[in-house]
Amino acid sequence: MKIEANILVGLAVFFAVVSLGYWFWSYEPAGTAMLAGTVLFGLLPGAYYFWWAKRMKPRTEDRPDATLKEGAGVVGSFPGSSIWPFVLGMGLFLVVLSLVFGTWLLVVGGVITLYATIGVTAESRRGGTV
Amino acid sequence: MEHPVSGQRHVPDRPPLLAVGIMIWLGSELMFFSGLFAAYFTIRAHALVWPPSGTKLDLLQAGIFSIVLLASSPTFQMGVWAEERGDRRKARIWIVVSFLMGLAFMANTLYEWHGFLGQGQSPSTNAYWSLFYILTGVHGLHVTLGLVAMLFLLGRMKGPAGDPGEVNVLQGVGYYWHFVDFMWIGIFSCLFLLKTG
Amino acid sequence: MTLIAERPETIHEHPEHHEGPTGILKWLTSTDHKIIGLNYMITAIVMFYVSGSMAILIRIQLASPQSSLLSLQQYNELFTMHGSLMLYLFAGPFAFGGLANYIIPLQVGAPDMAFPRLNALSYWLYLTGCATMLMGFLTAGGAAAFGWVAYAPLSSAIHSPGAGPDLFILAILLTGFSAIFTAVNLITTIFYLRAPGLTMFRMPIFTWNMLVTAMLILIAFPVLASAMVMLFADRKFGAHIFSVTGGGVPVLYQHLFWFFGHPEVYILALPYFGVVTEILPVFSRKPLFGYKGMVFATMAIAALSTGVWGHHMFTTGVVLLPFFSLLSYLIAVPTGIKFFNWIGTMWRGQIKFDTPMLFSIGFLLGFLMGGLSGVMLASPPIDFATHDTYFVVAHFHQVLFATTVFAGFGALYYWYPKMYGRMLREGLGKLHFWLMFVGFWLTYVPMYILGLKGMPRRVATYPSGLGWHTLNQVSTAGSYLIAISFAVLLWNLWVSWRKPVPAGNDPWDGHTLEWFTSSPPPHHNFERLPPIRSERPVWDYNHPEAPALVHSRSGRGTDTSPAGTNVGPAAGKAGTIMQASEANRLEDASPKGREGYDR
Repeated sequence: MKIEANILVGLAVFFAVVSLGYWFWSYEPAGTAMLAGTVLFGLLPGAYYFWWAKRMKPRTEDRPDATLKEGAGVVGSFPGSSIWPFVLGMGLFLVVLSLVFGTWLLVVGGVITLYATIGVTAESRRGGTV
Repeated sequence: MEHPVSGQRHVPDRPPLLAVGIMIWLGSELMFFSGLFAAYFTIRAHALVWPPSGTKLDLLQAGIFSIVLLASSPTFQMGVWAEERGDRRKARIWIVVSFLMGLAFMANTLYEWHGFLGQGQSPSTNAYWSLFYILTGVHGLHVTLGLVAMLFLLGRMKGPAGDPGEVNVLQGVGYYWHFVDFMWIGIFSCLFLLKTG
Repeated sequence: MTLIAERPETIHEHPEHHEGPTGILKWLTSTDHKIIGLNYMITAIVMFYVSGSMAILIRIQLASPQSSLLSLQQYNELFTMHGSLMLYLFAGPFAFGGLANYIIPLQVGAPDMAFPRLNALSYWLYLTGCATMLMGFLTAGGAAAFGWVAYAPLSSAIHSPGAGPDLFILAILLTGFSAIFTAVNLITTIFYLRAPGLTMFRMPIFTWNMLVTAMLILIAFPVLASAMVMLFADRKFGAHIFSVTGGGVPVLYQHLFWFFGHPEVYILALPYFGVVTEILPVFSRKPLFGYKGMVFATMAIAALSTGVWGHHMFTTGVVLLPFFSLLSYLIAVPTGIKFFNWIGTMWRGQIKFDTPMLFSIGFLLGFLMGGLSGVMLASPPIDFATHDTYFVVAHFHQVLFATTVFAGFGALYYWYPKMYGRMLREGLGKLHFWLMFVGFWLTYVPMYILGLKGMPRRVATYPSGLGWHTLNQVSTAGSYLIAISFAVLLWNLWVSWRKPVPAGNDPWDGHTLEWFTSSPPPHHNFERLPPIRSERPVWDYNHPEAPALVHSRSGRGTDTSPAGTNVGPAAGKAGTIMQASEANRLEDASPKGREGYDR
């Protein structure tokens, strides 16, 4: 996890330098705001991963000498198939289209989206997935 | 990745999968808001008087409900910690409390919008009000999503224990909720506090 | 239904029984990254053909002066949709939705993507985004006609009324969110689901490049989404973000757009750099030259590309020329390192000129030309002279065609055997390549000259007598050749489908993990894994007699030589040569991996 964290934190440091340089050279707010956002983009997940890298032992995929035996076992639970992403996608499609074609689509799309979200959650609960 | 049932907290051998994903996604959300802030600061830099003269705001009311929203972050975190200890009942209570606080904030936002529109301060009034509605609207959408997520979370936490993903989802929603509250600090400062001219 | 995926331990058969739905229901409900990846690729290639047809129409229109094949409005719609389809709906999704989705979990030894259902949702958002974009043609006012950049104020409700532009904005929002979700999924998969021993610095370069691309997506696409939200508010709710009346700032749109737009160029390029970096070592039968240099060059390109958006705005007069010019020049350095490493990989290799290799070499040549003209454009004086002329059109077409088409379809030829378990025809593949290669140069080199002669871009027609006619005709002839070459590809796919030639697990003698499993791979990808001791584990496994190059990177740190496995001493030194067979045997024999490891 350490390298993963370092990449993101390194990105934040690089953009901290660039955004400071950019601001004091140009005093242009739009670019500076977005570059500063990029700093936070690296910092937020980077700090979280770094925190974990500090407190846990290196995982098998972090160690060059790990054997397959060590990494064997349950990786996680993955759904085999699910209809809900499709239903959710179509619901969101209608919600988005309602912005052009009228509010009645919003009702239809909203109901479908809600229905699909309930389906996803129930499925997650049964399967223990996220 | 099963959560500890006993009262003490221990360090698992890897972070939860969901949290790894949520964190990187929140990073991208930061970029989304930074695009909006880029617009805000550019337009503000082009204005002589900011907010434009004639802008009527109720700082006190907005401030009170901002504090309510910010206070919902610690309450939610109490819920996460309760769940991590295995105390699901307490976790549910804390989530309900946070949900009500978020709901109060959203209700106030809509009430404010209603008032402003009644005073003729609409998105097409000037760029300040365009930004006002876009920023509060986009943030309000995030708050609403968080509230919906809390409702689903409560539904998922109903019934007997044994859902291994539950605590991870609760943590994930927690990170999201903290993020939404954190963004509000920036938006509130920009719209209500920053003044020039 | 949910499966608990277990990572295979050693070499013993335990096929996974997975009874899923079949037929159309399988297509609708699958959360398998391979099926979603194929869905993505097929949709993207359909978009490519649609968009390519638009390009042919544009070229026919431009072949003669004062042509009246297309009306001005039709021409504007066509070039807008050509660019939008190619950039938003083909090049990006083909790479990070299609190739990466299919290949990354295989290359890192994972059973699936980290969030399979989110992955499926991404695809449906992408597909509906494609539908939304094309729906514009069916509306009364026609499709969006303001260029793929949708500059404000041209894209305002006054200058571009109608539903078509609204649908364009919504399509970009849909596909943008699809890209963001896919990027989150990719990063999590790469960070979290790697096989044991597959450290970050043993990942295949394609995986590295996709990781960096995914980060760029997460930096760039949300900014585009925010710009689109504001543009939509301007159009629909009368907001004043990008209009001067009311205190808005039109040039703000360009800042936001190009803060997305320039990283977008590398979002489209880096995956294909990765593809080429996979293909060149395999067909040169050598390990990659300068692995770490490649990784850091990729990161440097990505980081710098986020700081150069202003070079698209040189002529607006409101950007800091030296800053953006400097950073733009700097990008040439890591790109040069990449070229150096690609050539170093081929140098003294036993090169096999199979179709994927030909496409990669075509990429190198095309990208060299396009890249060098890009360096010229990084200089403000040249940019001021050639801005908005065909010189720029030639530059970005060469770059994008070389990356997305040469390397992209090279990837199709390279990984098709893995995806379908059957080979594409070599002869037809080579015919495809040569037709396309000749067509590529014929189409775009005249455009450079046209640009220098002053032909502006985005014009529907031009008067005769300016010396532009012949060059345009050559360019159009070249585009016909490209079109024919893609008919050959269809023919190749058809023939290979009707009369399959089985591919086997590893037709190219590949290096990376995807070549270890069956073709096509089973539901959760691997029934067994080879020991991973370098960045090309399958090669090490298949060639136990070959000296395995152990790079210094695996030797860094303290925990390289535990008692349990015996690879430590060899792995500890930079550039040490060890016998892979020995490593394998020791790996398989090591009975107690964890005991030697103590912290």
